[in-house]
Amino acid sequence: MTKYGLLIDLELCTGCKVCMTVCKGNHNIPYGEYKGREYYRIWPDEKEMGSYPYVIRNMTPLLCMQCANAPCVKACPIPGALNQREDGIIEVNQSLCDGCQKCLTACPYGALYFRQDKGVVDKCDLCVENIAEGSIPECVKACPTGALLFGDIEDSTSNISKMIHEKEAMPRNPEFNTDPAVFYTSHVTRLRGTVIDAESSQVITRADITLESKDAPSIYLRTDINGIFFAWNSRNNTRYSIEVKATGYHTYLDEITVAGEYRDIGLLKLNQNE
Amino acid sequence: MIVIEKMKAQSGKEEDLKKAALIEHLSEIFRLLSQCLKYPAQSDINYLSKSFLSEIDILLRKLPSSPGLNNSLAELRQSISPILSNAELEYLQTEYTGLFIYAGNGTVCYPYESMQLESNKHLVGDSTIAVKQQYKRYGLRVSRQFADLPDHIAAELEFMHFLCRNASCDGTIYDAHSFLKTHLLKWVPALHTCLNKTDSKFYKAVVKFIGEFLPEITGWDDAFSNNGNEQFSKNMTYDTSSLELLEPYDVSTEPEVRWVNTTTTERDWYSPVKVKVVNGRVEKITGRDDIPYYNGDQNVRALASVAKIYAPDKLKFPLRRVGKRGEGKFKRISWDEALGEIATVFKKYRDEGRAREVAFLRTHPPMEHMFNHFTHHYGTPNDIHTSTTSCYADGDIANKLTAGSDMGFDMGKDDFANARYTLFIGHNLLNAIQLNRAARFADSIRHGMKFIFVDPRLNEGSYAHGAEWVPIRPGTDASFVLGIINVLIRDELYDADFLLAKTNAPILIRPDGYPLKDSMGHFLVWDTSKGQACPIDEGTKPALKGIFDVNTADFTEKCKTAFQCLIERASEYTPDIAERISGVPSIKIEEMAHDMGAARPSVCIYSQSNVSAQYSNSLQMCRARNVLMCLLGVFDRPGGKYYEPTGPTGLELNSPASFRIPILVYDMKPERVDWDSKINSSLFTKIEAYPIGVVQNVLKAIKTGEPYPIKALFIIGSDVLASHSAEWRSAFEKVDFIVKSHVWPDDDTDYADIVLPEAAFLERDDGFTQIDTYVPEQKNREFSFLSVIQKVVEPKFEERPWFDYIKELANRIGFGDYYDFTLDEYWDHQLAPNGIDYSFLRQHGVFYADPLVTRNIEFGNKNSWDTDSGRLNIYSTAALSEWKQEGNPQYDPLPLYHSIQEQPKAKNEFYLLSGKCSYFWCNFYRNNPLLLEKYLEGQLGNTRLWLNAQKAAELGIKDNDWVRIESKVTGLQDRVQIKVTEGIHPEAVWHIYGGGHRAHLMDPTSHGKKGLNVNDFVPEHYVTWTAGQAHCEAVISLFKDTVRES
Repeated sequence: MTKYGLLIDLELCTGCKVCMTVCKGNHNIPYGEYKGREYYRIWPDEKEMGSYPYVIRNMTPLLCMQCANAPCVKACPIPGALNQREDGIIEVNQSLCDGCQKCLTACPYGALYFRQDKGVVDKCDLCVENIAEGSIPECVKACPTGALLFGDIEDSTSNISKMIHEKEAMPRNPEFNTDPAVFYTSHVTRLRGTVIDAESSQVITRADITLESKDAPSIYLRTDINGIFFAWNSRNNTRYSIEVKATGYHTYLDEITVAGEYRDIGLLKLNQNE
Repeated sequence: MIVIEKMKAQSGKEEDLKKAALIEHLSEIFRLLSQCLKYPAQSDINYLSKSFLSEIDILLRKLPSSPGLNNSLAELRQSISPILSNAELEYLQTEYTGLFIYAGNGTVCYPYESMQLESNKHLVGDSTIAVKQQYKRYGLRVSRQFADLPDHIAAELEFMHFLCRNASCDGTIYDAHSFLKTHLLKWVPALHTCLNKTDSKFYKAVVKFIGEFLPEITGWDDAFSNNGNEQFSKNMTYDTSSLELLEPYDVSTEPEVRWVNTTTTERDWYSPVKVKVVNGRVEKITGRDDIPYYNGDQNVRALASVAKIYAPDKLKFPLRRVGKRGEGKFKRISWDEALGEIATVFKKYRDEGRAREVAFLRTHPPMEHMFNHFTHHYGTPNDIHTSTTSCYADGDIANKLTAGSDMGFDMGKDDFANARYTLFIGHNLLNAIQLNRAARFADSIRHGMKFIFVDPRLNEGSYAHGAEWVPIRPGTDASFVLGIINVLIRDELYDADFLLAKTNAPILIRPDGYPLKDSMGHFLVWDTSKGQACPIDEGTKPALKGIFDVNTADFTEKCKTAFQCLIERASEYTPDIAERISGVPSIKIEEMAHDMGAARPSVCIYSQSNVSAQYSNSLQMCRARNVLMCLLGVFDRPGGKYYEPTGPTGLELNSPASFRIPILVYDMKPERVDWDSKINSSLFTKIEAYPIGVVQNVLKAIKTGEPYPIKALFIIGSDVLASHSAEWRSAFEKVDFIVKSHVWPDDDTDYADIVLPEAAFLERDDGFTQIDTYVPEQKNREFSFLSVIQKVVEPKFEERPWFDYIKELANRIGFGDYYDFTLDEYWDHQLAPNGIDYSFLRQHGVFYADPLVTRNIEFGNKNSWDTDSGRLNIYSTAALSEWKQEGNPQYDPLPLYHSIQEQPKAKNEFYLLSGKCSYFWCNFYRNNPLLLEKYLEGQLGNTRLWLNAQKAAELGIKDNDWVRIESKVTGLQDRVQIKVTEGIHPEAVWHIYGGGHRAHLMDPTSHGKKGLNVNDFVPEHYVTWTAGQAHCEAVISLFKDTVRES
């Protein structure tokens, strides 16, 4: 049984936003908003993290997760207005929708929006008109880096299934328990820490940091004038051993698990040699 | 009496005849009202002033009596009689233009049903299509002469006239009633409401009257009933003789759905697409999936072309200024009038031998050599590309000084596929211009390539997986790069073999700084095996470093190798010194140098020259970066720079110059350059990299008359007021005649005497382009094909492709012989060696060799560069005499850091920086609603001023607060909202380029009016060598704004 899904590979995404532009342009979605929710089917979640100069900004494309266990379908009071197809895609039948917006409220991902001019809701349907012609969604087609992958996630031999497996891609917010068909690879974790003298609390500059893991390449860093080290691409959901060496101090050793997009592990206190 | 005659023939009944008479009168009233609302000509004024009111009066009296209508008519008479009695054509034309075509007085009342009713404010909305379909049922469309949209109020009124005139017992009556209710009645009140906000006198009164008249008719349901017979009979022939704004046509010539192949054109990134046109409207632009190796990827900005052509303030008709320059008062004129006037003026200059007093300022249109063709045969040398010196001047010259004049914009392409380390400094691939390399880039990121970007601002490079940001003080990039070079030299991490074999590092330099040459003019090196100097290509073991006593016939001198000179230069930039200047920690500099040294030669340092003209020291900054690349040996090496793959593409094109009328190609690759030439004060730089002129010199020539006066300007596609706006505004006053041609209005359009509307992309043919695409899954192979760039839809108004009108202009001026060809012919000629013509490309959209040809990207084949030394130049000899005479650091043969002129001092002073982003580049995009919605642009807050969070806290400023910024040098002030961010250097503020527009011709609600025009705050600093305009070299003072924004 074919089940369509998407893999959004954040390792390849460069944040150009062509996916969002092509979707809006090619579906003739007007400019507008209703109660703060602008008219879009796919949109960027942008977050700035950290403090100067250790700052990053990540971008994640978000869209309807085409959930197997869809709250929107359950919430819709009109049979057929929100149609969950056999291939998993959930599409709005705008001629049946009466604009009650229960689906909108029920969706924990914020994927639906209300078209005030038409009095109906709208959402991503993975470009069913393209699929009908044997083609792929517009966003997937337009992406210049191949960060969007479309295919049959029920078929273990399909490209998308292999990539999901290989990259250990996960849905967003699995705690919502909606069984999404959209998978994401992880953002790297930016890892920050400060090395100080355990006794005097003075920062230690030019300390050497080594992060090692059996699951990821080693990372070598040095603390700066503020005693801060910053790793720009430690692997998410990974256990690292961390070793800190500085002249005149005992070597510091620890194990840390790196998770999330930005993590500050705080102060690492080094003891002076006797 | 058509209706009555028909009725007599079909039914002799008294009541039917009365109905018929009624409809006859209505038909005439609709016709008169329609005539009122089209753009008035002299004959219309004559008619309106003499007969209109009395005729309407007579007709109304023949209708069922209505006190309401009598009142309406009385009011109409009262309002418009005084105007009509003075009936000045220009008055009415100006009012019309400033109401319906653009916002003449701050409000524009688009006379289109879709604009008044729909929330999506763009032209050709759903109502437009619905109305068009109604016309189509009767075999009608908007006439060529009317050249406007189907849902224009005048067209809809004329359609009512037509339906009534052709009324009979068939569905026509039903349709008339239905059209009235479904369309006109729905939106005329909205139009009237809009007009009420203006100080219009004439048109407001007319539309008011119509708004009161229409409901009255539907009250006369009798007249419109036809006993429920809605049968639409296709067999009727209709009388179209009275039509002016509509015309009959063969509906079978326009299928409902069309797919057209074309190519989205965006500088350096072309994507083949197919465009879906439904009922004449572009609905979809999607990548073609039938081209080998091409995967359908798109450019975000080019895709937004859909929004472009339906922008309500798109230039639609030729305009003539009627107020003062800059006042923004225009009236519409015909192409004949417009070109007639332009030709008369330009012909006069030419005939009097003063062609050079005319300057053409332009951008890079597709087929820009056609433009060159025009200016050349017109006889003016002033073909000025406006953005050269504000965009790529510094990087381009630096690249040419280093790698020669045949290396193009970026000294080769970046081999991201094999790179292990990528550095962006001064320019970010992921932000602007070129994203078509992004696939290879992203793939390498995935495989562990280190990516680091150096920028005062956390730019969009941060989205890349694992990207590292290194903040830097504005204007100090050269010191940082020299710090890296210092460490590479100190720790011997440079590629000595590469330097010896491929660069001029070993050439001997005399104590006076000039290179040592023999009597034949060869550069000399020190051959360590022979212990003497010898010509560069004969040395078996040339020295890389050292000072040598060279005995020649004339003298003995201590000569250093060029590399030795570099070593001494770099010793002035230890990591600590570089840190002090640039703010980049010395540890970081050491780390980066070691990482690059270890990764060499597979290091990509992005060196495209676009947007390189940032500071008055940008030339040396780019030279420093290029020298760094030489030390790492990246040129022609895997993971570094690669050149054109060798071998045939399977494609062959005839040159434009070989066409039967030779088209001169504006050539950025001149013959061997005379490097000792100097920039002088003429309109042109002597560096033959720029055979076209420098825009600042046009400004100077206008102001001072030196080297000769400029009295007329023809501006195409560029917004001259984008920078140095105050100066240009005052310069305009000294120019006698200004023509502006573009697709949309810019700020400078307000100052034109004549405005010409151009057909946009998708509305014109632009020939074709060659696209080189990577072969997926194969790192080092490329595939080339030709892709058509052709018209997809007709222009909606009177827009013309510029080649079309330029040709007519050439004919009018008197050199039309040079334009005696069609574009199709011209392209046929170019394509001929492939055995195809342009119609083949139109039909198939693409051409490639069969069987398929792919080419290997190879490395190590390049043994000479087009420089004086025949090698990559570490040491540049191009400006030695200037350097000796003037001591200007710009001319220094080795890179150095020299500080910029503007520095912030007080606590509330900042460097004002500007730049672009992936979905916002050039003026073309500043008003594209598809790209500038809140969720795309707003999240980044690019039309707000970025301010460092800590600085904001110190100044007591919060996110979204309004501030006032002021430039002490330019004296300009403006208000802007703040975006508080951690992602910017504390000494800098940043705003996107392209905001703050003030044009009257721009829609009042356009996004482009938000934010600042950052260039208003940039003082005059130039790189003497390149005329680069230093667009980031500005300091502003920032004050909290206590005035609340309403």
